[in-house]
Amino acid sequence: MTDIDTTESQVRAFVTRQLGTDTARVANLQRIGVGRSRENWIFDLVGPDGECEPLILRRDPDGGLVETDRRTEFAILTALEKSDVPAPHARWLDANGTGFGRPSLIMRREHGVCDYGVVNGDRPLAERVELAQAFCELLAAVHGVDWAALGLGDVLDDPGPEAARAELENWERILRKDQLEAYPELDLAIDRLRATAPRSSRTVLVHADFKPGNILLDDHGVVALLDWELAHLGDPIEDLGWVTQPLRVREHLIDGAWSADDLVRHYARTTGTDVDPLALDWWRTFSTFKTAVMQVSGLKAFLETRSDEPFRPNRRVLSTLLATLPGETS
Amino acid sequence: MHPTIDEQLSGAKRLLDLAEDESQLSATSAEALTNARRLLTQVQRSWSALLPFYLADNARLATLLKESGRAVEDGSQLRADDVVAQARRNAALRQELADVISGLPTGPDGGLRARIAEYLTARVDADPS
Repeated sequence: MTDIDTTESQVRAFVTRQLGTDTARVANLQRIGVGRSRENWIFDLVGPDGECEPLILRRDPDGGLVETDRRTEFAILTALEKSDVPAPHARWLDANGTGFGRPSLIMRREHGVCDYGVVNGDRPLAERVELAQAFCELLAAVHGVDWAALGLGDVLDDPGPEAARAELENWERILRKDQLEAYPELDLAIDRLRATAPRSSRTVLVHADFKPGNILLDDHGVVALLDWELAHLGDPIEDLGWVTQPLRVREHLIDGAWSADDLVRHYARTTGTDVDPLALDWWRTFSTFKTAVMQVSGLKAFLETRSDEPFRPNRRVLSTLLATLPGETS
Repeated sequence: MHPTIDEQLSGAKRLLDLAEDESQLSATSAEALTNARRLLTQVQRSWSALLPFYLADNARLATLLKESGRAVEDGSQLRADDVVAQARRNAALRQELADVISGLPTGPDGGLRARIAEYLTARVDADPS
């Protein structure tokens, strides 16, 4: 963790370099959030005429749970400014960490609050269902982005119909890099998922960590979708599998009022596309596998003192994974 | 006899509670205390059940590996009351099982995948750690 005085001088020097002048002032710098995951520092950039721009500096930790490329995230955010998807406005990138010690992004600070439990929170039921529908429509909007026209094909690989295999290989690679011991549960999952990987019917921009905790809300609804660090090109059903997987029921679904089937139907109506139920099952299981791999990475990060959260592949995740594995294909 | 392992763990948790009651605690420190307590709770819940779990699981794993055609040492050279040695053997046998899974044929496997899945499901349920 970097202290406030060091960060303040880093921000001042970096902003001065970007603007080519030292007439702007950095004010109200403070760190938000805890732990050793990505450091978030909020501050105001005050121009010579007193105009104030609220910004947020997001600095990588010494070693993240999952390594992602800040350049790619910056390119995605910049491209999305030309789309209808509400995302933070990216201001500057320090890709190599020359200004902040570690790779960092500076984005405009949007108003609103994130509430991961809002769908099952204190609001009246009708309002919560409306919000859940709005989240579903936001996901559809992400998938509706014309990524080729926005130039995202230059920074992201298009896996084509083999998106499922590509993602499985990606997360297996992360598992092999981070596992400190054998996890036959995860090897069996890889074996079954590999044998049954569906082909995707279209390639879209996938958010890959879509959840209310990453959505800024105000009194009028959605303000912005945050945390694009895992975004990639792939199968739209990947995000649907992520939000309807058993581990995330409380975040996305409302018992008796907004089921996984409701969500999928609403998505299909909004996008005008069909959702293959077998492919959806595969992506749900993959999502649980991905969660387990994140826990394996988190455990390593904790033991190497890069993270203060004692993650571990836990019983709930492993038993859910084993219970949903596809059966024999032969 | 005293303090027992449980008494020491309970004592550590009580001291963390005292520290957490400090009103001046920063959000970072409060989060760290919560995580430390979570680890202690986990150890307290599982430590006494670990040795019998490893003994039973090592036996089940060795049987499963033999069924899959692997040569497995019976582990009789290890002391049955040595939890560290039994844990090491468990890790080695789990690595063997991972290798078996990686080498499974893509076609019919004589029901081996199903037996492995059944074993792993039971293990996840029984694992006290």
